[in-house]
Amino acid sequence: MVEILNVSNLSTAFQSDYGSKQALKNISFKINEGEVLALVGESGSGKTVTSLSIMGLLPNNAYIQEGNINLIDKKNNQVNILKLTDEKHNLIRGNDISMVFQEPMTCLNPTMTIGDQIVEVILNHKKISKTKAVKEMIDLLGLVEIPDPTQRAREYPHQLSGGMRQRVMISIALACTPKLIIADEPTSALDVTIQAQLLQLLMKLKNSIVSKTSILFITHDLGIVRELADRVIVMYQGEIVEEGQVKDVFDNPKHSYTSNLIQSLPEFKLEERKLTRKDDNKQTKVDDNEIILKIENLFKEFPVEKGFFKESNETVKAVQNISLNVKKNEVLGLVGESGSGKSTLGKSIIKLLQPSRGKIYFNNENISEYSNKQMIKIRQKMQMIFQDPFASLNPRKNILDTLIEPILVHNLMKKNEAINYIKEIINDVGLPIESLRRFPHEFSGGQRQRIGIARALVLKPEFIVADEPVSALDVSIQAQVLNLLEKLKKTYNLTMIFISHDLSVIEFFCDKVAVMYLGHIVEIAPVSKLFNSPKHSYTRALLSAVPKVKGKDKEKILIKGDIPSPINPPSGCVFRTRCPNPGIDCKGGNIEMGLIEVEPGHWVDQCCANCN
Amino acid sequence: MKNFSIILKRFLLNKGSAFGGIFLLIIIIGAIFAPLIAPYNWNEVDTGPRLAPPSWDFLFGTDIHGRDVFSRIVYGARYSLSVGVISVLFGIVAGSIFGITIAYIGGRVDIIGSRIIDVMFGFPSFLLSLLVVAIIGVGLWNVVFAVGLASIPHFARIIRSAALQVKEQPYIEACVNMGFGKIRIMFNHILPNIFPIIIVIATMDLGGAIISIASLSFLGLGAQPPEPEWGAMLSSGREYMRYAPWTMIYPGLFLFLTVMSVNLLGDRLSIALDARQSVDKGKV
Repeated sequence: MVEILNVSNLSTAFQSDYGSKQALKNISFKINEGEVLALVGESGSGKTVTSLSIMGLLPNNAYIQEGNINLIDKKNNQVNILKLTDEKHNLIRGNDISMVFQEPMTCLNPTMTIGDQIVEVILNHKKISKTKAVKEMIDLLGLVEIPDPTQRAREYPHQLSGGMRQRVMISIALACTPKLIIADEPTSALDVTIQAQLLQLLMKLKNSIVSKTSILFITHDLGIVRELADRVIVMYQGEIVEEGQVKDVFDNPKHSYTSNLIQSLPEFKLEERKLTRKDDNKQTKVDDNEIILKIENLFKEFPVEKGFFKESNETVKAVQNISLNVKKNEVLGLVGESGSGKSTLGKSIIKLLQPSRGKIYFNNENISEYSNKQMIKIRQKMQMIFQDPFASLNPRKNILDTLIEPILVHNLMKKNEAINYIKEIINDVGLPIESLRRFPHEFSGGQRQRIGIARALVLKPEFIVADEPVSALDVSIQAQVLNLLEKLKKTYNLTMIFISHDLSVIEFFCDKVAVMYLGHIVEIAPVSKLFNSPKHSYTRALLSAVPKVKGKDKEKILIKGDIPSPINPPSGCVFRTRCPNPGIDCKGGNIEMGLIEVEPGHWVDQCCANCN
Repeated sequence: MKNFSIILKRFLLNKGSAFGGIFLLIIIIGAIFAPLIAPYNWNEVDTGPRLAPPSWDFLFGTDIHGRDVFSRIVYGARYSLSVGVISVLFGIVAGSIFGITIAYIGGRVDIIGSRIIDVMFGFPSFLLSLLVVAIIGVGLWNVVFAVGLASIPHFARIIRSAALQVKEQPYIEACVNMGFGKIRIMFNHILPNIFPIIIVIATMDLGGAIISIASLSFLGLGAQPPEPEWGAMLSSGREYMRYAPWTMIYPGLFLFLTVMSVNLLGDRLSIALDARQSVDKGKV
């Protein structure tokens, strides 16, 4: 094993008006040739600062206090990166070490074709003619499995989908066959099915062509580490707490932080829960009084803006013909990739968006045509928890003002009563009473989400739409917030629609799940049925795409390509363009969408129900 | 309070804003304590020889009526500063209400409102103030109103775009979801969040407003003699510029320094209120 990068005693700090903050505390590690080293940790643990220190891309207010980073470059010379001048460093960047960033959209130049961007990198580091470089570029695009590379090379970044853009980023990183590729959360911004495609590509690259290249893979997702990496380093608050072979670390974590991190994953919590969960299969007769929310043939379409005066005929078909029932005290999960319309559906239900067609019955009252004035009374009963806990709190109001305002507006209580009531609620969500006087920026992400939950509760609602309430949080915080929601659901007698793209969170929290694809519900079933015997091909692919820490290496069902545009969805079954095993009728688009009941309580889109 | 001391530190570490702040402070103190500071009554004629050059008795000389220029400038500070502030206040309050309303209601209201702003922008703002004065008549307070009115489209446009940004934030969506009314959302939730921007553009515009009012007074449309407004003093000194330049130089100098101080302060304010900047960065 040849060591290509050796980081020793590295300490980095940030300087600001508020004093200096230590980001890395004396960390040391090394990377061997051809290995995939994963760097995991929660946000703020110093993973990205580590990679930026190696690349020499630290922001101006950061400085390296001490330490060495030694790299064996292509000519087999040992260089200390930290001692290099900027020009010398440029020779290394892109040539010996290259980087794949998190956001493929913002990291590609929107005014250059992707071909030109790759050629530029090649010409910058290699002394070859332009025609040769173009040929190399086409090869690279083929290597990252971009279909029709000569054509694609002439396109601009905005013409490509997120997954394609990330492939381009990878091909740029590979351009000069570097010794080390640093991948900083390269799949975090992508959907699970696209992530699965990319991870498979990386595995393939690792095992074949670029076997001498090492990868430093930075991620917060333990599942990906398990699937991809050879060795793993766990970071916590700027320190390395554990390092070792992936299998050893996951099977016998030595440090308590690591074992906590693993135990807080929803897939582990599920085990405990399955023991206590009441039997889902037991069918209770649905009483009409029990149904709190009933949706019939709901559509939401957004007109595509064309110009100032003309209205266009094209629409983004975000929600298409959706009907569902939510029973009292039930949690319905809505799951799907980005662009599937799950958030739009959630917002249409509580009328933050006016649905285009269809009926919404809330407590047997048709609210779909209610005006904003008529809605005010209803809004008290239906609340929402937002995804981004920071942006959903008014930064200029302290917590007491934020929580008390809705009570006073709705005239529920007098001011003194309200203050006592709020103290109770803030206690219920697990925050100290003192926090009432503070402002949102003084809290951490998890605490802010607790405030968001408290705000949803102050009006004593019966029904809550939770739109990705834990997606912005770290794994360990996620578990705490989920436990809190679980507890509050019981004490406040809540019915919920829980929107998430994270299947394991859905499996942990919900009673019934609806899977959405391109505005349609393709499958709806009680949670245990959906996860144990999925009927729709999309559900199956979605389930197998999630990287898991536990479990055997099953053969993955990969679905090809990207989600089609919701402006022109495929005719017939919308999933047919990506379906792994479409029937003949299905391919032709002859089968209309529509759910049929295959088992009691288990509804599947008829197209796939027939195919299988 | 920690934030406040940091903002203060950012101010004092910068030469431009320190100068602007100190000069303005002197002018304000001078304006408040004018009777104590001015050696003579601003309107008393023949306190000394007519058109006397600056001397120890008459620091900035005297004008054609033998009035002390220094005393008049000290009293004049009362006018120039207060009329500037009042006209900007008028403009910004009206501009905020207009901008926030059209931004939040959106749709047709926004389209029509924005076009109105565009049309008003079509007139040079100075011409617009002239027009207003022509309609409502000559006088200092009419000029203040006219200049404030002419600044509305400028304020409304900036505030509209700021409000549009805030409007898209999830916390505004959360307000709708709580069943809050439009007025409450606009002025209790959107307004506080664009307040820093409002303060900055108001300060930046203060200098321009002072100049505009002085110019209109110079043209004889604003303050009427014998009021010691700086623009009016420039106007009345014009005829004697060749023999007694001090009757114009000193009011002009003070006008220039005041406006420059306000602008320096405004520039720095926008940097200081931007939390992302650190102390040593962004020095002007």
